[in-house]
Amino acid sequence: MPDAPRPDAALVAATPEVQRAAFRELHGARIHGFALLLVLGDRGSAARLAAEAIAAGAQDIATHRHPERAAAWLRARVVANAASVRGMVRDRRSVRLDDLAVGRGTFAGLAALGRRERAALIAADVERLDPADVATIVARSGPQLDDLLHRARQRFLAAATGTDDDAPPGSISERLQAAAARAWA
Amino acid sequence: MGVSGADLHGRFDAWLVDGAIGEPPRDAALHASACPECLRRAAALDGLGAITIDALPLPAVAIPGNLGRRPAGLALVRAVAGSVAIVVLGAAVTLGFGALLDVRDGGVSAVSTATPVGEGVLGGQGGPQSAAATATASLDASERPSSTATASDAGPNATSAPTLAPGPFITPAPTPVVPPAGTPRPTPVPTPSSTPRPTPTLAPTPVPTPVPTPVPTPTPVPTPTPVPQCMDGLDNDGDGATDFPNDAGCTGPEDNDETNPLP
Repeated sequence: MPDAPRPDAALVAATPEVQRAAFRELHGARIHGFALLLVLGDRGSAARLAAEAIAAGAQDIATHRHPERAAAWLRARVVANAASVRGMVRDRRSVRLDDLAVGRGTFAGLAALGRRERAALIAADVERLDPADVATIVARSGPQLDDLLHRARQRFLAAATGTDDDAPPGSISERLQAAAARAWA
Repeated sequence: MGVSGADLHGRFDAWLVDGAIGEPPRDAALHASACPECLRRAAALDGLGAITIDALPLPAVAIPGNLGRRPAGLALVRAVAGSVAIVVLGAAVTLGFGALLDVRDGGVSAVSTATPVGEGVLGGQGGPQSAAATATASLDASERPSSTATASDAGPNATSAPTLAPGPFITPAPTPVVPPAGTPRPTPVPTPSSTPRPTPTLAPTPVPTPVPTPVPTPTPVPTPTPVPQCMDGLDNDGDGATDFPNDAGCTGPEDNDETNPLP
């Protein structure tokens, strides 16, 4: 009875086209959302930034020495290219962040940040990426990255307003209430 | 206890700004649970965690490095619109020229040559063929090379300056040209007088002189004696009798014929 082919063997034998499609499938949606947040809802710019980054990443997919870092590399490319996107949110009609469940208060907080601060905050607090990945995305490391994140959160908290929704499980508010209850007890 | 509310507030804020990692300090948590501002700030950071960043569809396939360009669809729409505009413009120009050529072929060319050419800027049909103006006039419109022909015809005469051409052309034109079969062609010869404004400066004498000459001749024509023969005091028919009632040929003083009626 012949042995069944191993899944990884099939993946290795995949053609470059299949690999690119898998790469796009794996990163496409999240990099699109990251770009949309970065450009504050400018859908046209976000689509172009995400598409270009995915295309560039898929082109050299076979040469990636650390595929697990592809997410950080893609976001870093989006951040770098976003610098050349002039007039973000030029057309207010194209601003739509409803799909990402971004509240009005959250949008106000994000809009108060600079491009790099926003990228750091999105990577760290929205996507919960590893600090090494955040450092790659914003091209900062060590104390510089910490300062950047602190400044970003402070400016965000100064401009953002909270939501009226009930705190979901695991949220900061929920953990705070739990900690307070334990302290009273 | 030496910990003030401001310190608790600051400690809670520092915990938030550090990323809200782990449990908040116990006293800071007690303070924050009763502090509206602290709760607002915690809820604001929770807003970030509520974002569903993977809710968007996959981005379109693009070419690496092709960032600054507009979407291909928009470029295509622009290209199509531009092409349509060019085609429409070309059609309009073609129709315009076609209509112009049709008019010239349809005989209006004669009219056009008629108006400006007579003393024509370039001599028109007057030039060397002035003697043969009748021929040009009688030419069928389809045979005539239209305005280009008039210009070329004038060439020999107008080699020095086109404005000189009209002079020689006009002189012969007036008298003989009339006969040409009554077609409107001949008349065009004089009409060029519309353009002559510029020419008078260079060739003033020839132009005016020929034209008036024919005119005066008709004026004497009206000389028809206003006095009838039967009261002019003359024996017009030579029968020896003069005027009414002496001449039998007169039926009255207003009768203009003294000739005797045949018996």
